Amino acid sequence: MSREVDDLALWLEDALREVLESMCFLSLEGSTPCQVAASDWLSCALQFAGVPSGAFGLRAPLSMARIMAANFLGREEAELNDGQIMDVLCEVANIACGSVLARLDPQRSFALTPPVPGQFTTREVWGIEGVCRTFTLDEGSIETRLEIGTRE
Amino acid sequence: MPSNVLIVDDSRSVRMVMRRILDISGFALGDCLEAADGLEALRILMREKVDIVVTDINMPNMDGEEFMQQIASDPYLRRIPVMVLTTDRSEERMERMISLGAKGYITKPFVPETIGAALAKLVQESL
Repeated sequence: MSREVDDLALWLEDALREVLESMCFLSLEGSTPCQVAASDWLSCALQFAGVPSGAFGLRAPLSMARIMAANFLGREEAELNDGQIMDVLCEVANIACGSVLARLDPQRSFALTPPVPGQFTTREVWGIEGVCRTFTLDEGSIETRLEIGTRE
Repeated sequence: MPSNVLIVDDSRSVRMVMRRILDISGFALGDCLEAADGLEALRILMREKVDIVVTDINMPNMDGEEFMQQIASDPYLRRIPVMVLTTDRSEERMERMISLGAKGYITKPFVPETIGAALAKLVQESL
């Protein structure tokens, strides 16, 4: 990996760790480059505009997403419906993206689109820099993808 | 005296978490109202007595910045203390929101204990 991609991977891990520990009470164990995810994983993606612009995606198996949602909302897993689970996945993506962007540039603000359920990569081709990591936890796996472009 | 709080966030999950935090934090909560964007929040502010507003920034229809501009331009509404709760940690945005009248700025992810304490401080300052 290049130095810049190394930095992106580190920021991605730091951001996700911060969000999961403080909002979902979950700890990351380690990470590897992304593998091919099962088709039934839940996913969510959003785009950000600024300098630089890009996209952020997050996906997880239903069982993992359910645990995240239960911890985030302080509810029992059995009480949650599909909409609540997806809503939390999208909010975690939103917060993690904001956390990564604060590391990219702490001075300037970025405009974020609302998270879109069912996406992991965006249709836009950014293609300048990108990193995708699978994070392991005791409870399962989570994947995140960060794409950086140059357009404003 | 209990305070009526309006939570403005397009995420139902965040609104639910905020409501739970306010319930258990010891904050003297009156009515807890919710809006999914700035437009809906303004409609609520026109008809309900609200003591404190907690608003996100990135929202559809009317974002938090435009919402704050609307509040700032209204002689009655601008007396209501507003706390911003957002993923945006940039100094640029924080300065802009403070200049529009925001009395507090908390970034996500947040530690639940900070929310109740920040709101209690806002109430105290507004007395």
